[in-house]
Amino acid sequence: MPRRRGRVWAIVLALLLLAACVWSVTVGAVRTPPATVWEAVFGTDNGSTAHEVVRSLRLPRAVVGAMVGAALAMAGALMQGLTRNPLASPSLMGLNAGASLALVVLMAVYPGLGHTPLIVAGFVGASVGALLVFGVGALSPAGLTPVRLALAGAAVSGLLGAFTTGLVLLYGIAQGLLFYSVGGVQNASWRQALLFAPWWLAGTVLATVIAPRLTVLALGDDVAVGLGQRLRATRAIGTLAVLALAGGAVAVAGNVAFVGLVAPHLARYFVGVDYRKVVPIAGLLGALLVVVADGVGRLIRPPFETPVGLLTAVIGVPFLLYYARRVGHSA
Amino acid sequence: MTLRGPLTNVVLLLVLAAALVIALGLGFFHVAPADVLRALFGDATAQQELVVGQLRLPRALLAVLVGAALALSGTLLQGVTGNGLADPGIVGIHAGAGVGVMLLLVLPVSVREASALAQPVAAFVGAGAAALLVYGFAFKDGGVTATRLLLVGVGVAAGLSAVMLLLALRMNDQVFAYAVAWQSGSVAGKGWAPIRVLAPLLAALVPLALLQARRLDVLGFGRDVATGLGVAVERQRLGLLALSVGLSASAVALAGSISFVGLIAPHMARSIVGPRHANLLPSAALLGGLLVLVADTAGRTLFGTTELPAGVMVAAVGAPYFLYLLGRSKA
Repeated sequence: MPRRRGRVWAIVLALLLLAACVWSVTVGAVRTPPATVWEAVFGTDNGSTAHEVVRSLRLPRAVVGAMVGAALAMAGALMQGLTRNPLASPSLMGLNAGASLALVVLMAVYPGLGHTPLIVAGFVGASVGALLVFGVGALSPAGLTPVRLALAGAAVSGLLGAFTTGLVLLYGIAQGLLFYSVGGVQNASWRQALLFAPWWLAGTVLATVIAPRLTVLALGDDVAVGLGQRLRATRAIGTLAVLALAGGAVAVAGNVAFVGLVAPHLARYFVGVDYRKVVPIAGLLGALLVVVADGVGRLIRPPFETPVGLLTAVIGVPFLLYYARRVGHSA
Repeated sequence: MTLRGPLTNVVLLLVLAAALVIALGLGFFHVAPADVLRALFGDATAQQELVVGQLRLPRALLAVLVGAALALSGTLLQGVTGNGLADPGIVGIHAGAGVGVMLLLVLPVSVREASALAQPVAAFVGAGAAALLVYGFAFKDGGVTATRLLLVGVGVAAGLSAVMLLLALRMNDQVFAYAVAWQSGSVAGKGWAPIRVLAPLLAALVPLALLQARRLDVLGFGRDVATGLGVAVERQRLGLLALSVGLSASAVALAGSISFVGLIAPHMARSIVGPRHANLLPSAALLGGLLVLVADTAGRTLFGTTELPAGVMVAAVGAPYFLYLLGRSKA
């Protein structure tokens, strides 16, 4: 029964995601009826503006949005599993702060660079931020405990954030960074999708490989070792997957908040604690969340866009508060 | 043995005074320490008196006062929550002040610049509102627990950051750059006005804080012991939290968000004078003042013609120290 439940949810969510993508392609400053979308995607290109908008703006946007959402959610699930910390998520682990710093460094040193180098810089920065957090957490005698990891994340974010602010002030590039720190997929293109795809695929494969081990790890380090697991290998593979997924997502879409936190919790609510189900279901939920948020963001105040990162915060903050109230009970 | 704490604090006071004299002399226009003293007591060239007395003295004094207020606030908060990693910035006070100021900045210029006090008042109100919000959400079953307070604080801070981003999107480049500069926490170029506000406030709040030293010691034994010893725990906590919020809100209102001082100054003080609050509170205040003074002086002298705000400098030093503390702690 539980196994079937996972599959049913997966199918339902996949269908919902598909519907959300279609809806997201139709809405915006210019409304495109679904029939035109169908023609634009599967028919011959008649060179009309509507086809152009669908093919080269909205479609990549929906695809990149889904990829980013799925990546963040899977990375969040992995982080929560690896650290056994229910609040672990990409933005709490120094990834965003690292990416912002790398971007600012690049903007300061070589102003006017194109999109691709910025993405690469964001990826490198996110990795550096995450490795710093993991490194600090792992160096101490007591090891990588959940509390330590969360606090190391906060401190590393504070440190990198201070450097970012310093550079922003020294070079006067505040506004350039603003849109990035809000987060969104409004600049999505097929090129971005292609750039992100290998990382996304690699991360997803690694996440699938590591998922069963996380279920065992949830029972405690001792139990996991007793059942023959090599903790170091689990953590190394898990960290690599997180870097590929979250690093890539942060580099492409900036700081899309709370998806990595909320989606895994929702997934656990639906399908229980088995990470073999939690990881894919969280991925689907994350993708759905970002695609819908991106579509809604275009509808709120057209022709202006409300960034995805703000809309996901609207969902994420009440969730975090609700969760904090529940957790505080036991302490 | 009983004299050790007070003696240490006298030494710290002397160190702070010496640092003040040296800091007043440093800068583009160099003044020797002896000449600084002469300028302060009215026996120097007009130029020295202008630079030292009119330009650098208010700035240095503001740095010391702000640092002391933040350090006291952090010490109270750590005492109340029994958690050495509590910080006024973490529980949303800084973010609340930020929202207050940014709300003011999106108003028309005529309103925004109606009074020099508009901005500190907006920040103070914002900080107070955030604190109420945090306390309200954390209140459950007739009280607040430390864990819940911290977690709710992190959640509220995240939500307020999203609000700040939303407001930031409505600003033009200039106003936004100003907001970033304010956020980063600076004591530069504010003259005597903030000191006239902050000094009397501190003169009222600091003795109040010092009077609570005994109660803080008792609260440190934990809720049950404190109740057994006849302390009305919840009422005490509420009073102390209000005091802590008042101190940090005043500091942030006048100098922007300077983080990590409230976090690390109490730790430094504890390692010097031990955990008793009668000694801990004054030495934390002195160390906090010293910290911000040194940070501000370094920020204005080390980078040639450009200046880095004190907040950035403090974070650059404070975050690594915090990570070091974290590495040593066994939690």
